Amino acid sequence: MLEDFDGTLRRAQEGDPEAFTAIYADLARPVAAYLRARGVREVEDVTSDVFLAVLSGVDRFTGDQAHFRSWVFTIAHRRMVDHWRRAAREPWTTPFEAEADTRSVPSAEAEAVESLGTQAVLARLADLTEDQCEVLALRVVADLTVEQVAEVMGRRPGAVKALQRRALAALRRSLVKEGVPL
Amino acid sequence: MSPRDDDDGVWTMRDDDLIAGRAVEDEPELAGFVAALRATADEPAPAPTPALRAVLEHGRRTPRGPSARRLSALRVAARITLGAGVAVASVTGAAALEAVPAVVREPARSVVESVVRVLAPGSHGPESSPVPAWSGEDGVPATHAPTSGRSPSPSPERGTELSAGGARDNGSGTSPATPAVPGGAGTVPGLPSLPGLPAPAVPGEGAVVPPAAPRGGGPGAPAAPADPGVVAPVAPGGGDPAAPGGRDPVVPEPPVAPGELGPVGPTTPPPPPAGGDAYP
Repeated sequence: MLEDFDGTLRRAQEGDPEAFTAIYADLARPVAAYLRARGVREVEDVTSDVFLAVLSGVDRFTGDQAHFRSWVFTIAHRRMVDHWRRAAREPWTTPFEAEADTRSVPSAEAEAVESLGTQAVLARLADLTEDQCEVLALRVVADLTVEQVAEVMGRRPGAVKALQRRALAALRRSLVKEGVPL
Repeated sequence: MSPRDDDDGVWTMRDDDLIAGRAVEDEPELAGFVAALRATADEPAPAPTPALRAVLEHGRRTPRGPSARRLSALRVAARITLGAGVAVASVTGAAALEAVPAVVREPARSVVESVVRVLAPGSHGPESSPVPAWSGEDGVPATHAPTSGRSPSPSPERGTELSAGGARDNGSGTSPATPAVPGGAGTVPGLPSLPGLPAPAVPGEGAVVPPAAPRGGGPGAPAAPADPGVVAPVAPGGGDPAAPGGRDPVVPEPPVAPGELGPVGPTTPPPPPAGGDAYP
């Protein structure tokens, strides 16, 4: 959360790069996590697309920090939908280029455990329906309220609550049944 | 409240606690899952693409504000220019086309004449001759032609008469009073020359009315101020005093020194009328 949101927003609207950086630093991780949770493959590219849209449209934004967060995730939600529409039209293939692979491996064990945990979580999410997965990602990862999620998804809060309940119930059944610790 | 409502309330509270990361009894797996899901947001942010990095380092990608403002200003200016052009073309066309009803054409002509008078203050002589042609073209008898009677009148009176004539001209358009515009009439033989009216005539619209006011010639004397300015250059230049259509009143202006008012033209406030009142 930004401490001086109003000041940061005002400076961002004036084109101040430091304000842009502050906004990016505040929201880039949850946005990327949301996109990851939603199964977006080119998380880096889509996250950057989201923030390019945010920073180019920030001068038209009015509202407080909660609204700003909702607005950012609304953009992320739309980019995610665009991504899946595009992906449905064209097969996803990426040739591996060792020179371009800048990933570093701090520790094989740590990486394996972390990857396993994240992958296991994302795999569980993939078992849910699209809307249930969307609600959980926005509620937990993006840390939005039910009302904000309803705004992002264009649903009513009651529908969001119902989706949330069904999502948790499905996860509960699945976790208990398999007994797989995360 | 039904048992189902009770259940709903309980489950809603449990769900909210789970989502918020609060401890919930008998739900260790689900609580662990939600915690793991929330932890994915703690992973490092992905590296920005070059385009985003440029924005983060240098500000907005393109200077949208200024260029957008400039574009909208250009758009407004283009619209105003287009509107003015259409207005000028409409007035000129209404004045030139025979098919246009006289009710419309005559006021349009008077406007065009006034504009021409302002824009071409130095023109004179032969230009006055075409004016009568207007009367002929319109088929409107030059009933007002005898305005020649004004010629002898001194400048104040002339101003008065001209203004009155101008007022009438605005109504008739074909009246000889219009000829008081030597320059304009001259360049408009039967209005063919009207198309030649420069686009800048737009600003001239303002000149149609204003000159009369400061003169004291009264509201109906738009032509009055033009006299000195227009006439001054005429006299020395060999203007045609014998302009047909009784335009003589303008010619006898020689007393006005060309050097004094000539260069200034209609923009210079003419000397106040002798009586100070244009109306008798």
